[in-house]
Amino acid sequence: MRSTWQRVLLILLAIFLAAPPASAHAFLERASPAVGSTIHAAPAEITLRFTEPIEPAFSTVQVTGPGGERVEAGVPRVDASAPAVLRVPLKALGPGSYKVVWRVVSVDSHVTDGDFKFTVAP
Amino acid sequence: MNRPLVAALAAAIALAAPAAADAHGVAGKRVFPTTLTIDDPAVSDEASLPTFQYQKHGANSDDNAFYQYDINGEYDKRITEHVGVAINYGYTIQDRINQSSRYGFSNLNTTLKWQFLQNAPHELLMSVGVIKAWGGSGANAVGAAAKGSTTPTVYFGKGFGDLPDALQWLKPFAFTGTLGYQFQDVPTSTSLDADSGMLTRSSNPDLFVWGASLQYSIPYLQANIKDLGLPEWLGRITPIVETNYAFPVTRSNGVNATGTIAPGFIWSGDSFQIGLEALVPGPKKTNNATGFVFQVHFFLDDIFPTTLGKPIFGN
Repeated sequence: MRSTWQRVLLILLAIFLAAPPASAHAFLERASPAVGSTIHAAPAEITLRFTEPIEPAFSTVQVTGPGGERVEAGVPRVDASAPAVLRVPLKALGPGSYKVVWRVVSVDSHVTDGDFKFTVAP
Repeated sequence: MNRPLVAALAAAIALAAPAAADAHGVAGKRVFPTTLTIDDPAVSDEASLPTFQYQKHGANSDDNAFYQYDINGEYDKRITEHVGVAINYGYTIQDRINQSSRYGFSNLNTTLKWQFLQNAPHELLMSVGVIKAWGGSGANAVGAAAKGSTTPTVYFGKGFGDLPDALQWLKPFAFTGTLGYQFQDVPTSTSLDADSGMLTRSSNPDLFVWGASLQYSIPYLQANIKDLGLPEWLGRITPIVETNYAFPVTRSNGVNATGTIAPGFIWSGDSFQIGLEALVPGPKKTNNATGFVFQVHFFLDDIFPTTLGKPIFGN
């Protein structure tokens, strides 16, 4: 005969197993150019890979150059084959330090943000 | 199946009214992982299940020495976006070296907390709360006090992400802490000694209780400062040192300060985290040996975003 505690544990286990797939906060997992990196060839786009699928309509990415100028050449788009990957086309970048500021909303509405720098060397 | 039990659980799920907010301890780019031995600076929809703790109390030569095993569970629930409650309860086993073992529940603890400050640029969180220990809800045999206590507490968390860029390698550091004053419900109490059968009268001093953690977030480092190319599992680790102490401030008659220093790490997954820390006794008078604490902690706002993971009222 099961005790009350065993029943409670069974119910809790059943609730967790019956839960819909977790859709957590979207944190930055990898970026290209990499966070804090120095590269020699100017990239044509920024690629941000998050830990969760994101909602592009409510997500923003700003890239500013050495003089504070904006260097995005278009709006962020989610990769059609990878809903956790955001791509932003860039203008032609000259040598200097660039700052990427992102703010994304995961598909379950959690908001996360962050920023990082990369450097284009001559 | 026990019908009242099922009904109670169903009612609890149904009570989770619609809303959406950020239940983690987040301030700007900073995510404060849930600490194992001290309380967090944020309110949340989360559950620690279980927290397992092991520590030897007393020296081998001590007749009262014992190995203590604690299994605890905690449920944190937001009432509104910034006001939450927590319930903490556990079971204790004291495996006595020279005597028969003792078993029983520890006292029930409840917390009401208001997170009144969340500053993103400075990665700062602050809350105030009241912890109520319900005396007599646990077993006297394992040291659960017959009388309760009330502890007004201030909680804070501060990330170092606003340091100048010249100190960028220090930006992943964060500091959290709690400061509280524990009022005893009754200043003295009488209890029955389980071994001798004698009534003993003891003083219950008010206590100054504080805790702190210093943590270095590898996820923060990888996402905001420098991608070191670490494997994903390694990039989710936060090395941490926690400490907590309680000092008697009134009627201290022989009651010593207690505390631990707990170095370890927390691994953060998408919807849960795992923590493992050593428990190094602080004051040497206690003769406690080094133990450990292990915790599995679930982010209910991520697992049940439309039901249990939302505050009961508001967005």
